Amino acid sequence: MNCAEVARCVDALASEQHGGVDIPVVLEHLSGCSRCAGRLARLTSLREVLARVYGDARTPSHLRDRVQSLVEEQKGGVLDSREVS
Amino acid sequence: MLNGEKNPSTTVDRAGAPCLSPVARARFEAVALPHLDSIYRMARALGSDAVEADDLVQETYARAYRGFGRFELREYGAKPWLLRILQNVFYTFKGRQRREPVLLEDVDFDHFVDELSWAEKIPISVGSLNWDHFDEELKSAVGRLQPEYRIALLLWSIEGLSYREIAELCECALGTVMSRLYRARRTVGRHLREYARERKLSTARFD
Repeated sequence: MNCAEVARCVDALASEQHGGVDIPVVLEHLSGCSRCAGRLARLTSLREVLARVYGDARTPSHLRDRVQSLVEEQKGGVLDSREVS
Repeated sequence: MLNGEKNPSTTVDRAGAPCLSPVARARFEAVALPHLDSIYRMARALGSDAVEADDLVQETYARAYRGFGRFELREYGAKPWLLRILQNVFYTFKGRQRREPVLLEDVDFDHFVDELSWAEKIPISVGSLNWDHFDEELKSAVGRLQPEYRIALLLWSIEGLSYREIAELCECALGTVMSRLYRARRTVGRHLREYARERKLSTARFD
């Protein structure tokens, strides 16, 4: 397996999508190729950083109340599935 | 309710129009409201400010409620369905149609070889970085991405969706998702590299 093929697998691994990835072969390549190993580490790191930066947002109480009210108000309302795409 | 089973959805109101049955209403609250934080997180990341994020969330839930009769609980549950509605609401707010995938956007695996050399240059040794400022820079860089790239990057990072889930949600090919993520990561990486250089943060190891 060459670096380009491993790069595709690394993308899948960074996305925790292991299906179709021959993990032992990829791990063997990663153990001997610092460039590919570094790329996996950076992709994982980027994902973690973005999750940290955006991940702590919690629905403010006023919005939670508004959504709940909206559902209450819509009860008995007309169903118009054409508006949902 | 089994996967793929439709909701016991509609009754008819006094005017003869269909509306959600009491069972479906209760079902909606049970399957949709628990994802409010996830939807808000994405809306906050997509919207230009907190007010727009609030509007995106409200409109998403209003549409979801109205369309719940057609909703089928599939393998991935209600969250991807709500995220898809949010995406469509976002495009509506931005006054543009979702771009159809084009051939040029499909991935060329030479990109990945290119990305190997690009990735070597991402600054990692950042010394005494002001993390609050860094976070704002990162948000700014993500906010400047094209909407399609931004959505793919945020779904991948914040929601932890797989490429296949993103492709299904965005209704595009797997290769298109990979291409969008590649471009998004490269653009954000370039921006952060410039940010590091401007502040004379250590990047020597990667240059």
